[in-house]
Amino acid sequence: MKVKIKSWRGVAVWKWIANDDNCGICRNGFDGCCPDCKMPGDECPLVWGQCSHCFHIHCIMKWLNSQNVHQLCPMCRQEWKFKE
Amino acid sequence: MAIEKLDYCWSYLTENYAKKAQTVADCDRVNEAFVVLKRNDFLDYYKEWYFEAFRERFANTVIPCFWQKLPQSTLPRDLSAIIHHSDFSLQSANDACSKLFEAVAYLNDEFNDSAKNVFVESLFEFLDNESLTSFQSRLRSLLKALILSNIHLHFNDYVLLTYCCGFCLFRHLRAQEKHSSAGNRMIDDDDEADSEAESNADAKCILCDGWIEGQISEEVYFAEDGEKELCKCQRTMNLFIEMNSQLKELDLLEVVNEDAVASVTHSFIEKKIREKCQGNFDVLCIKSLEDWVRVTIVGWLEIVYDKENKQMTKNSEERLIHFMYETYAQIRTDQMFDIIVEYPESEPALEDLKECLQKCHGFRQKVIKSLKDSFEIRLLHPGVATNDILTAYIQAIKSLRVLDPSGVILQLVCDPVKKYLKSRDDTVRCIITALTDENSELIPELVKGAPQSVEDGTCQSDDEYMADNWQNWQPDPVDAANVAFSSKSIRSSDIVSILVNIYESKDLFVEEYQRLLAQKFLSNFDCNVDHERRNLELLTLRFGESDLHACEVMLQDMTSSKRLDNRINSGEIEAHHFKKFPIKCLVLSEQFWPEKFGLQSNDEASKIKLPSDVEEAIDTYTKAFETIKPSRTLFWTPFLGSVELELEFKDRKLSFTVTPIHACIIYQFQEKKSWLISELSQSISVPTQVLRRKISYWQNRGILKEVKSDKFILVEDIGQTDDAENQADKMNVEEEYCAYDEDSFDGDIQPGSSRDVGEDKFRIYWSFIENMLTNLNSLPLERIHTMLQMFALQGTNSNELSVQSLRQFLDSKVRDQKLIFSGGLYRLPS
Repeated sequence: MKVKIKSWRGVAVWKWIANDDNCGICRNGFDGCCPDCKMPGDECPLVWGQCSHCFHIHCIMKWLNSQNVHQLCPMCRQEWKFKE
Repeated sequence: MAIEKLDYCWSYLTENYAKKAQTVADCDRVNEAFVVLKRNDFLDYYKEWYFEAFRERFANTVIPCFWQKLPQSTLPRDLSAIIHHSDFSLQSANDACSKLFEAVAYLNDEFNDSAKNVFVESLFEFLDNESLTSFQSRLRSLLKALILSNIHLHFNDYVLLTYCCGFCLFRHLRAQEKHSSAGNRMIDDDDEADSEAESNADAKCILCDGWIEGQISEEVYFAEDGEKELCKCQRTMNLFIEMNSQLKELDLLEVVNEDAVASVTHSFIEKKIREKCQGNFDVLCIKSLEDWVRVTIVGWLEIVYDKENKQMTKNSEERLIHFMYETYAQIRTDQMFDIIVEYPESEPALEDLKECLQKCHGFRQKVIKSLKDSFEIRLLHPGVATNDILTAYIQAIKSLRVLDPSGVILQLVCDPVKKYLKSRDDTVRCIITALTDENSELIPELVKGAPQSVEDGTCQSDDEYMADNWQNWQPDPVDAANVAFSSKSIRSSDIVSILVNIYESKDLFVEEYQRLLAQKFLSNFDCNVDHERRNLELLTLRFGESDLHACEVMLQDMTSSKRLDNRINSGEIEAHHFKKFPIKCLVLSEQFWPEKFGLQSNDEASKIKLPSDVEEAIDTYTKAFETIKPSRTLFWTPFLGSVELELEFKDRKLSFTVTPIHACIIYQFQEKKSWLISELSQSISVPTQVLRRKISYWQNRGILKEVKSDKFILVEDIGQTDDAENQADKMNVEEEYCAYDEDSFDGDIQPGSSRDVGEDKFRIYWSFIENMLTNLNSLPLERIHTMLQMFALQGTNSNELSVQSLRQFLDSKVRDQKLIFSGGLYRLPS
């Protein structure tokens, strides 16, 4: 007997590849979304700083906008620069 | 001389008073005699003597004779049955009636002889101080007293039978009259029962079986031998009327017939109502019944009591109408459960009953009580499926709103149902299933429901409501006081809200809906997402967006997975170089799916080792995903999914759609034809007990066979099996099976009952409780609850943790010997 697979449909969950589970600003999971968003993933992506900390993009933008003088990473207080 | 003359006259008057035939000469002699008596002032004595003589004659002769005319033996033996079926065609019934007619006529004659003869009349011509009529009424009272003091028990039976008979005759004759006036055309009014029978062609009366005069042709009349008996009905009716007027004359009418008339009218009204509305809820009949009472019953009363006595019939008319309404209400009340079940067909019955309730005092309570009782007996017990209870509940809501727009009855009746539903485990699931099932009758409710969110029943206060609708304001019915004030919402809100409010919290519903949705998606990958989206939108209108957010994400996952599959399998992604078979994936946002994807267990096969081809496919798919969505990766749940397989045997090909576990099992049999279950378990890393369950799927299909215990072999050739059925199937080259049809996930998708989930929640609190008890030694239940609410439950919905459920949880811990309960205090075992 030979078994021929005609098609295979699996189930998987997606996760961000990040060194933490939660966003340091909103405390929501990275795999969830920031408080302002509805849909996780594409609509609420993560960004990494050069300090290797990462946040929901909406969260960090909000934070940066509220900082007048220096734009610092809220976790390590280094100057915030987006990782390329 | 004078004395002798007086003596002579006295003797003449006392001896001859009872003689009937009086000639003119006799009258003259009587007059002369009275002249003598008057001269001697003896008239008063004669009057008293006459009175006494009357008494003696009636007491000793007439009344015994009257009773003799009514022997018990003439009464039909099964009297009550005859009256019940109004079957008066029997000779015995007729005989009894004529006996009574005769007896009354006799009594009347005797009375007239004694009270209206020439003696009495002449006497009162000479008496000035008293009139004849008042003397006669004295005599009547005497007669009445004599009869009543000596009444025979079966006399009432005679009267009842006769009046019953009289009523039937009346109805019958009236129908006959109508019939003959209407020709042979059928008459379609209330007396249909009679007129129908009347229309049979042989022109025989159904009541007395006699020929109806005027309706038989001469041919028939003369064709047969013997004398034709004509219909006696009209004659009997005349006798009946005469008897009534005689009784009236004797001032006995009301005394004699009051009970009989009441019971005859009542029983016929009741019979009529039963005829009209037995098991028949779809016709409005209260008005026609009222007309029937007014025409037929009152018409008969007019005959019995004589038309002059208007006041009498008027009074009884109102009484009878009221009786009719009450009887109707009573009958409908007893049928209430069936009426509810048959709504909306039964709406006319409800309208009728509504009118009755307005007229009859105290029936609301009866309706409520009877419904509560029948719900208790027929619905609220373990033998009834939750779905049926829900259906009945919905029907009750709809129909009781017709009956009582204020909703008070509804609330009083449905409270126990609601409480009972709350105690059932699967109620939430049933409601949610009903709400989301395409064919369910709840869908229109959901669609039409005002976009009013479930919990804002209190938001729009009564005052506000009244401000908009003050013109339609109606005071609450009196019994509204029995209803808890706060829960006015059930009376006005729509059905879906009422259902959801069974639990007084929407969280359970949202959770259950999420779980249901997850199960639906994971068991049927091609399910109709658009339909689900529509449902979700409708539910969002009710439950609010925030609570159903997760479900929205789930739907989004479904659609975006489809897009992703298309993109990856289109070949445009370089990383996906796998071409052996198409691989698709449902990519889920884990945080928004219910725990364990709403499945009961997923640990047992979580480590399953997939065939290497599949592993490769999965890897390339993951890589492709990573290139499309940078910084993200996939974690597969290998035991979920669906696989299309084609098994190629020497002589046939079979197609199946199965779960990955099934696929792995059969895949192993490619290399080796026989496996011990333990080997197989090692080879694909699935525990043996799970394996055994899954193997049975292939066994049932005749593909695997257990040759020895725990040893399975592949049935390569159908000829190998002795199974005749399979032999027949041999020619079928291609067969389609779908594993999901029969044992989708082999029972893995069972409703993760809400209770289990509740326990899971408590597990979080367990450490709190443990610490609490370590520090404070022992605590009562209430204390633990307050402390939990203070510390652990802040921010969360405190509805989740009732004292009741905490007690259940703690008790389960006591059973597991993790806690000790003594003297009302919980403490940790030392």
